Amino acid sequence: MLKKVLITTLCLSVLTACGGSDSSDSSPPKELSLEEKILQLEDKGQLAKLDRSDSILGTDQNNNGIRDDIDAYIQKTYTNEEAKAVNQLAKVLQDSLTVDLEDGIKLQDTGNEYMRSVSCIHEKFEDGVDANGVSVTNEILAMTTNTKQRLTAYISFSDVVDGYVFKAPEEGYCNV
Amino acid sequence: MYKKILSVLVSVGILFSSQAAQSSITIDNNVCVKSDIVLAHFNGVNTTIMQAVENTVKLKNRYGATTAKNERVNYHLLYNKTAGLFGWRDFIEVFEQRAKEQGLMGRYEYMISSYTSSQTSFFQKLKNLDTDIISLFGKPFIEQISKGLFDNSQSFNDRKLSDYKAHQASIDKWVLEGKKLVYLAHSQGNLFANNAYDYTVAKTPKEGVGVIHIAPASAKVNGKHFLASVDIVIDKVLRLSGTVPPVTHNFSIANTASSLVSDITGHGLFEVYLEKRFPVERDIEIEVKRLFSTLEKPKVNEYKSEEGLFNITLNWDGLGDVDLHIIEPTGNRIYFNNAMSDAGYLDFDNTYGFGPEHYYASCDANKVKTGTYSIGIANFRGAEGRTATVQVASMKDGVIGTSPPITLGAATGDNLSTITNIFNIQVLKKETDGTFEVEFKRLGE
Repeated sequence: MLKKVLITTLCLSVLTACGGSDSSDSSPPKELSLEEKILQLEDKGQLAKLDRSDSILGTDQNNNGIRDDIDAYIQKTYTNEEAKAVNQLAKVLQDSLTVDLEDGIKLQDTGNEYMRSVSCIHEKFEDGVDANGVSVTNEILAMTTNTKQRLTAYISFSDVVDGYVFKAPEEGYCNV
Repeated sequence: MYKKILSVLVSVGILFSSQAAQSSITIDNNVCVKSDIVLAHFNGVNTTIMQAVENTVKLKNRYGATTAKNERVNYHLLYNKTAGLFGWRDFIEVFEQRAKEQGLMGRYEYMISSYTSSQTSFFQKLKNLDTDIISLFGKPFIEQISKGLFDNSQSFNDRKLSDYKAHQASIDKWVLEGKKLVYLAHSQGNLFANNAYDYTVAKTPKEGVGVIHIAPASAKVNGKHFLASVDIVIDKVLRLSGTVPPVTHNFSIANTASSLVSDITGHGLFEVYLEKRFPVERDIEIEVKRLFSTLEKPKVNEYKSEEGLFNITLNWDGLGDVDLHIIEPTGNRIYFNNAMSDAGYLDFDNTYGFGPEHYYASCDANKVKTGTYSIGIANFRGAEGRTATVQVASMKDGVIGTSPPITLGAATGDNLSTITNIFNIQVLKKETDGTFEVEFKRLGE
């Protein structure tokens, strides 16, 4: 009981102090810009803080073919079983940014890997949407293409497979 | 004349061997799961490869790998990019202008987020901040999509199926193998589907081919079409050019849960036309299933080939006689003059023009030969200067490679020393489960 009274008193004191401070400053609180709001969310860990370095591949310290910031997001967001499928997708997306655009066999293979990884995502997530209502493919694609250089590399791959044919696989599409 | 006689012998021999091969395959030895129907998806305007791939996977999950009649369906994406003046690079410029105004400079993750139809965490957070996403990105994109589609439809005459060699080779293969074909097209994909349909019905009875036109960007239709009154891109913008069919479904998409770009355009494939809240979705499904059940498989004498562990298809762009030559791992050369082995056979030899020629690799586990297969072609006669295409497709992965256009040199008859090697493939047996993998092996490896 004594503890509750103390806490209530303390809270009231704080509120009074705060109120006093507010009343001495008549200017309204500054409205944060959209950019500042986003930075706040990133600082609080509520929005992924992405690598915006100049290189297409960014930092990949563990050499698993996935940028470290995306790696961290996947580990934080998904169960181990789900993460296997998301890693498969993240890796092929990353690969597609640096694929040789004149190597038709490699382009075909990369597109076929797209098909396999997306099929795996749809096996692990109903309609490809995770528990947070996020489309897994669009989320990882957005993260992977988060700079102009990366986005342009993705569009270049997308353009160069104009006229290709890709089959939706029937089985064996999850790598692990 | 000599070659013609040989071709007849090959055809007769193959017919016999094909039936013999079929009857000799026991279920234990058969490593192939052959399809009866191919659903070919022709994607719409401004769909990048990942979105087109995902839509194809969604179509497979929606309509299933097996029909009510227990026939197997394979799903393929026949991809086309957005071309013309208003390609994706113009969208990036629009995005950059908007991002600069809104203080989102350099955050390109919002580009894909704003354009793709499904939610990303980035857009979820913006919504939580009470940000008007549509005013941020939506309306400028509608203008860009509409302009892009208009531009593409106007310039489409410059984009023929014959320029899409991989599409053409796949259609040749499916026709030769007697597949029932369903072409499902969205938006500008309808222009491609119409060309593909014309090409197909020139080679096979039209009773085996059906087209579903969704949000058609063309007045010409070869099957049932579906156009929603809410489709701003087609019904409000492209209609100004007077080239689209009438609206089939009147409904509203106000108050949708995710007011993203594809929704506000009323044009998205899965966001609008295949969204289960709208009646148009049900009617499209009815049409897909009707085609699955009513299309007729060509009669045995109207198709020539079999789907194998892998197949090789050759075609070319005019008259003349071009030959496919396969050197199997045993060193045995399969060509018109030696069309059969245990491992496979040349089951269609074309001697007059355009192709196709078609090689079948056995589905019998006891006959499959592991190792390297060398694939070559030669101008037997009359095809100098023609352009040829070779495509390899495996049972498991579909197309694994299509050659770049190959310009044929002078006729060399059956002189085996003048064959042009196109590429090699390798067949491997996985000891863990006994399945076979077919993959490319680069020349010289």
